[in-house]
Amino acid sequence: MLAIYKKEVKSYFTTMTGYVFIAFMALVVGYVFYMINVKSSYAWIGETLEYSYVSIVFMILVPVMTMKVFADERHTKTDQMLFTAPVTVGQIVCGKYLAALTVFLANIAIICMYPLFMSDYGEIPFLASYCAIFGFFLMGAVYFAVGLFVSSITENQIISAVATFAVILLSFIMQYLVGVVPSAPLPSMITVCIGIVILAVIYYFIAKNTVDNALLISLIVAGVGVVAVVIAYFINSSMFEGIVEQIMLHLSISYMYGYFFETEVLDINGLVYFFSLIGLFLFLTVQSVQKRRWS
Amino acid sequence: MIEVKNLVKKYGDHLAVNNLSFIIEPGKIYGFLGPNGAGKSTTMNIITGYLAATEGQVLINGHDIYEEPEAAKKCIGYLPELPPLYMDMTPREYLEFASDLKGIKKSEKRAKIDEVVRMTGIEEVFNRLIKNLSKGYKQRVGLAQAILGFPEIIILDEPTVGLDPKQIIEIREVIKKLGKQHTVILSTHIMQEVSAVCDEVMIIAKGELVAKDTPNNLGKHIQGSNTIEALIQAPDYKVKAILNKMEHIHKFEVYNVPEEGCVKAVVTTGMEYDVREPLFYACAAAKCPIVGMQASEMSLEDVFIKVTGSGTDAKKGKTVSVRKGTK
Repeated sequence: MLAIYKKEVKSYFTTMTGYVFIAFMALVVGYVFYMINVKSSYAWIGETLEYSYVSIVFMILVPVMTMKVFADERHTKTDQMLFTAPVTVGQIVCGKYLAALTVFLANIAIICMYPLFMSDYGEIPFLASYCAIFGFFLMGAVYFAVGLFVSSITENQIISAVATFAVILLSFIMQYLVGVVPSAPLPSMITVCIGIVILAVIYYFIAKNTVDNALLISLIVAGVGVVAVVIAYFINSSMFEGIVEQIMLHLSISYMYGYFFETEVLDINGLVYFFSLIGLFLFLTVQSVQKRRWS
Repeated sequence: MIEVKNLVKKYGDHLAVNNLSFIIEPGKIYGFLGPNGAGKSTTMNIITGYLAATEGQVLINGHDIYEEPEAAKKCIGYLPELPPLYMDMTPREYLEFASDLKGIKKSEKRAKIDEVVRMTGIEEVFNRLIKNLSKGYKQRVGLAQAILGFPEIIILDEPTVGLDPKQIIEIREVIKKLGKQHTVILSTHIMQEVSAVCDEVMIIAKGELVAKDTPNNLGKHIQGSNTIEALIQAPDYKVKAILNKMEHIHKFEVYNVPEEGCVKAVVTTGMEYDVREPLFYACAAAKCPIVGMQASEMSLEDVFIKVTGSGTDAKKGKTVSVRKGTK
């Protein structure tokens, strides 16, 4: 794992990618910091970090960082070396993921200095500030995990980059789309049912070549899911009040970041949210790499 | 030692490897032959753990490649068809990365890298970017990576592709040297390479093992008969009449040849029977002079074409020169 980690970090800095990421991120975060914390005299740095410009930076830069991680290895067949070496797929994924995070840590280090600068001019909530920075790191880590996963499902860097951008963009605009979805119980319930069916269909298309009873499994999952939702609706229909909105908001990572820091403290909910997303996407990455060997 | 049991690999509906089973003994050089698309690379990829088989089992020194991948992969060095090179590294960086990846101890790293660099002759390009190297050197850097750390089993997928004749001979020497202490499997479609290097040949076609023997035995076994070619100065009906009257002939064919007034007869008999003398007298009696006569033995090329069942592009009609395996 260490070998892959070292190689990846090195490759970020032999190409321009690493420098571009650090510089661009530092520029935008620095600018927003100047506008919000310095000019408008906010003491808490979280105001800067949850600002929408910063999410847009992730949208543009994370795809650049992760697009080639697996897609390019696969394209140039260098993955044959990695996957025939005595290391597990999990170690390969972790090595690559930690390398990307290492580059991001350079920015975190820069941001960590901001509260110190501000402390010359007044009272700074240090604990809350560093909590916000830690949360910011976790938010970035989620985006990198998403990018890694997308890179592992394609062989083409460009597709990988565009798809990662699209996913992060979608996640970002989810919070603005909640106004258009129904919040009354019945339409919400129907929307949830449709969602379950769509997921089952997606599963069927992914698994139909490798799993024997893919059609049966997806039918059972869809059927059981829909029946369970309908039963739940008749037992307690108020449960479905605004559920689609809630699901969409939870898919919006940048919204959730702001939400967790409404109280300016990072609580267990936030940690669980970020870590489970990171874990989920790393797990999916390992699975998608493994799957390729079987198809 | 590699045991491959009932290996099956399907790509969708396409059967790439069909129930393949064989055992690779330690300390020998194996040649893996087969026409394009026969499943050579797929089989190698499965043995090395890059691909998973649909069915079947691969044991590397007793370690199952799926159950204990790390233990199994430690025993293997692999050079795929396309060398897995990172273009923006130098061979030095690349081999250092490879040795870290293989878990070679820090203290031995330097010495082991130096040794493979010497063996594959890449000292001159050691500090140049891989993307600027010629194809031959790239191939050699890939080979260096495969043999780095001297794993027990070395698997090479067409190792001499893209090399010039001198380099080919050098690399063959390296392979022969490796074969003294290691098990080497190499796939190729250059027949001379097999007879020059390999102790044993496996021919696969359409995903199935069709022959496995030493290069020398292979020709004899597959042939199972004597064949001679005679150039006879006579019209073909006459030659056919002569041959029809002769005994002990399993089958014969008569071809027209460019030479004016001549035909070529290809006569097949049993292993023990020498047809040359009777044929001479029979033709002499019919006043049909024999202007040339040659025994035709099966070369590896012929064996290959015969067992893989694709004789369409074979250069028939010529006397086949015999190249016996030189061990």
